[in-house]
Amino acid sequence: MTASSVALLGNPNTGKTTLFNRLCGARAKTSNFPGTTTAMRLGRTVIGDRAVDVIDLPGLYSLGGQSPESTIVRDVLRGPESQRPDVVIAIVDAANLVRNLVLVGELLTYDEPVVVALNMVDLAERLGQRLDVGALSRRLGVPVVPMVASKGIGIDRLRDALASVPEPAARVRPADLPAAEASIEDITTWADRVLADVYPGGAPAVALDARTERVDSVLTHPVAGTLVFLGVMGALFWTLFALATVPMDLIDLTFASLGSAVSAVMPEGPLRDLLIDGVIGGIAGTVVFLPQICLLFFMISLLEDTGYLARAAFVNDRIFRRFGLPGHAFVPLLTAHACALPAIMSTRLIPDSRDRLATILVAPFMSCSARLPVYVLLTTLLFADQPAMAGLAFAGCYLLGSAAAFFSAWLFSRTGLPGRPRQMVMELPTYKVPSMTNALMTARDQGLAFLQTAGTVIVAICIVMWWLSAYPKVEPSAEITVMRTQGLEVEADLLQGKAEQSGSFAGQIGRTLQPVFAPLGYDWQLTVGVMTSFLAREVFVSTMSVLVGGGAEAEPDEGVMQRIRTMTRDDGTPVFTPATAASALVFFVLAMQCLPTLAVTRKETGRIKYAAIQLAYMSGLAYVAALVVYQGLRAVGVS
Amino acid sequence: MTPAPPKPVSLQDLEVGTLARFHATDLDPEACHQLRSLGLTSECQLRLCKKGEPCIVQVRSTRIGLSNAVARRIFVMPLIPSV
Repeated sequence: MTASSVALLGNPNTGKTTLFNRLCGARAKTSNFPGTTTAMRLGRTVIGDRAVDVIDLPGLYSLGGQSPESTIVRDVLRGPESQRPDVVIAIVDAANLVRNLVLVGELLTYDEPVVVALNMVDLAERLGQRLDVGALSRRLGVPVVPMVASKGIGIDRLRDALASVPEPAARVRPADLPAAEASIEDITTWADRVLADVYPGGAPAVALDARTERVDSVLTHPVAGTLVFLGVMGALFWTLFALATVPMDLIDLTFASLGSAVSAVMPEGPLRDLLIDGVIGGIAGTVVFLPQICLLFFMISLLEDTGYLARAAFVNDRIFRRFGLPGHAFVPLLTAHACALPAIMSTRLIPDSRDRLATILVAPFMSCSARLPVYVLLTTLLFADQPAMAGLAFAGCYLLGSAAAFFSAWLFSRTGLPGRPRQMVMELPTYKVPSMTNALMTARDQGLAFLQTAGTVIVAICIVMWWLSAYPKVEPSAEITVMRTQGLEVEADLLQGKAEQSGSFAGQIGRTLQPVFAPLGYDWQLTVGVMTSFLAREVFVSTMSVLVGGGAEAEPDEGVMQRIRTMTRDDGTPVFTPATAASALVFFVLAMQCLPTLAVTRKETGRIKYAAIQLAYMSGLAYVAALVVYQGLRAVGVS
Repeated sequence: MTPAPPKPVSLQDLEVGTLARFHATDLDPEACHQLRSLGLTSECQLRLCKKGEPCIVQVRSTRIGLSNAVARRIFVMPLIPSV
């Protein structure tokens, strides 16, 4: 028969992704299985002279049980005939045959055409396990292709086998295969019998690998394992910060040049503003996240391939579990220090849906890089001539964010997300050299997935927020007109910028909501800063800069800093007293203030409800904490 | 006199390096299914590689990491090491 679609099925850590990449190259795309948030990779390969669709099914150990993965795979295998794959490639680890044959046995009960890809035969041979491939094929009643997917060995033979899969009528189900509803024990017994028949000298004895034993004893040790983990994560994030900065700056520069070019060729007006500040600004604000996302997933893929991540999950589980989080949450929570977007996307590593949701909800509390300029501004305002104290306050912000994340996870585990994190039961895969190709493909897939799904929402949100901040246009005041006639263009532009910020819809909302923020010590200007930074918290700095007549730079110069420091309220009192600066600092540590994060939360959880809960909870907690700080400081005489 | 047959013990009560036969668990059905699909099936032979947090056992070629709380609730029949 001639296949037009094939599905890849196999245990985790059997080289399924490597085989998929070998078959489909860079032509894969990622989406979700219908009605789920489980990622599905779709690709296309050529078999004979035909293009064939390839579906990469989730890795799983058994088709039974109620896990999301097994439900998805059963749905694919039992779906309408028109949507079922024509052939299933069952990839098995030749060095761990019995456990892999259990899944093959379950698959054979579905009576779907199957081709077995016997992967890692080189490793099996190194372990002295030489099996009779022909005997295995006869025993299973399906073609078996030995291969080393990581080296591309056997791929052509697999294509040949796929091109000549026996017609349904010619297939023979193994006579001793247990029935479809048989227990795993019965299928394991069958797999043991198969194994005894395919090894000429009998099934090989399994010896312990002394090197793996030694490495595991270090990597899972409470002290040594934690130190190694801190070292690995430190290196990972140093690399992330160091390497992502270059392309991020390049993206900023490119879009700034594009904006200038459009500005030069288009006449002034709303359309130009929309294009430059709305569309180009919105796309720039989305694309700028790409380097961090791609780089992070590249490094996570490398680490996962080595087998280290499974060990690290156990090391962290000891601590995280006390707060209602699983050990797997360490990658997302650490990543959130760079950016919450890739952090939330990386929660896909967490197998349990409750644990994954808990991690998604608390990850944005971790102080991301976008908070840095806000922390710099507010700690400098708080401790103007005390750099040591400013440094301590800065470190305190990071601690407060982490404490809020763990406290919230603990709170959720006792309220909205009852139950304990799933106890850790996990295969510890064999240590191996990671695949650069797989890592590159993963980075590319995750980057594209981000752009295709969250990216479009983020651009739309950016345009709306730009419109709220830019409209309605404010006519120049008499003072500004006079300044222009006197040739004071720069001063007039700055004053006009302040007037437009104040008169925009966002500014008006800020003024309207000022009474809500009054108990926190905020005047209308500070409230406008909070409102305009609802899109992205770093906008707070540029808003405050504009309000004091500076430019819209993310890092204001000393002159502008001095003006922000001496900003006054309408009654002439300073905007930034120690109490209001401390209150604002606490607010920005805890508040959501990042619409792209909400867009990614909605996408990853599949429900807008969770994005709404995240926004309400974080904003509520930020408000209450800022209120307590402001009123507490005033109560002890700090105004 | 015939020695008394060994009694099932918790995985955490086993000595590191000991071979044992899987006996029973008092875990929830989903956790049991997870263990069985990883190869910890009824009567299977396993070796304890590491105690504590995590506990590591090897079943055939598969190394399985178990949190202490799970390991405590898995009961095995110790085998004589030379078996």
